[in-house]
Amino acid sequence: MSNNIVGNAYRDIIEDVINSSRIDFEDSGVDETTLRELQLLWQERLTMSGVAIFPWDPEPMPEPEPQNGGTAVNYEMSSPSLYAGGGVPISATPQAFSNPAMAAMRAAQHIQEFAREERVPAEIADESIKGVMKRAGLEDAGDLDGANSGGLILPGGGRIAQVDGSSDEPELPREAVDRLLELHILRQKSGKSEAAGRHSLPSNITLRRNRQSRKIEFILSQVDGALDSSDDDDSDDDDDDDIANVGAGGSSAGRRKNNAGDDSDAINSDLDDPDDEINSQDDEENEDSGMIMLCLYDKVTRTKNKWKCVLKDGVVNVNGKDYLFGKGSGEYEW
Amino acid sequence: MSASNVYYELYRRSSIGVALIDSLDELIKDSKIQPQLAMKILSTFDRSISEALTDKVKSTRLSFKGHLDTYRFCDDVWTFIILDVHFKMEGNEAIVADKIKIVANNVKKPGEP
Repeated sequence: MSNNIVGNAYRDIIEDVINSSRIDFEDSGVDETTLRELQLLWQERLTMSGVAIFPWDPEPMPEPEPQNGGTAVNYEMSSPSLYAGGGVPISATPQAFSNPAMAAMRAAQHIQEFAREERVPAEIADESIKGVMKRAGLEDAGDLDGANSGGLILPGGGRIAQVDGSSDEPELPREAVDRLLELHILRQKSGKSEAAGRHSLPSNITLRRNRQSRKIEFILSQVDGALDSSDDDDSDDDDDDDIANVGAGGSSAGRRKNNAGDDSDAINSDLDDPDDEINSQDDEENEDSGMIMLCLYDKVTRTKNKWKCVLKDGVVNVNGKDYLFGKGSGEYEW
Repeated sequence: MSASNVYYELYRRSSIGVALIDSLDELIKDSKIQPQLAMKILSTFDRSISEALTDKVKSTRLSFKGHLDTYRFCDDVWTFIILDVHFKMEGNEAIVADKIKIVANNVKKPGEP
């Protein structure tokens, strides 16, 4: 079954790419730890996508140990007083925890969702999240200031922004939002030249990310926006509005154009992004789960309305799983 | 690595390709790497996955049948949209899908005989 081999094949590809890129990393003066981080991020994303079983997948823990390991779960259960809403317990997170870090991340996720649903004040949710993180031995909770703690935190201290459908940010009260903005502004002031360089480079990668998720693009421009806007009051207002409108693709596209060169606070017309056409085309065809086969064709023939094709070296994503094939053949009628 | 040998970027749309791009985006966003370095890594990925598919999955066979909804041949790339498709893997494993999009590049790269 070609799904079995996917795990090993992908592992080989990843190792090959990482090893081959080591030289490029050194040439660019980037540390080996970043290369390692790339590998971890890559593997983590593949694991989360669930397209196959990978050799690096952690084994699911049968039961949380009474000690450090499952403490995140126990912590939730034993602190009902934190939930002012009235004792609705968070359902015990399933036992698929690899390590305390993952458990803490899931707990943080649940706490965030719960806080949002029950309208628990952000400070209380933050406290419980920080506690969960600390118990799991993860630092960095302080740096995140609560607003970002919905993100995943790697044991090495790296962070994966949590973007799954709806950003957590619009639900935060204004004070938390202001805190977040201040943090961004401080960060931008310290890394001003980098950020300026970053957003003036329209790299292909960010454009590409555009097509797939406007929310990611929005988050990028949000950071730049805090830097780029002329003065504090105006920028705060604009940014608050943007935070309130996370889902609006139009505003994010307009904002990106704003950052790209205009420098004024005036609201410009939403220039049509040339990628929009391609995007809408893709959306039509990729409405569903995006089941797609990428391969090479050897021969494509047609007789009246019967088509036959001979394919090679392909990867197929079907029903949430990946399959690889060396030779394929198809017959279909039009 | 010979610079003249350019590999197809088609596989960047696969789940492993998308995972790599997302991870690179993350690192760029955190200013840990430069976009140019990311482009180099993606080129390395193109080569690596092309070679892996050529070498590692030689024997695996796949066949499928369905109803052709749309076909397009442009710039040497075939794109099909097939509905009600039945896949057959080796070992008599059958998979059914409502719709699949096939994007296929020419097995002969431009410039080759």
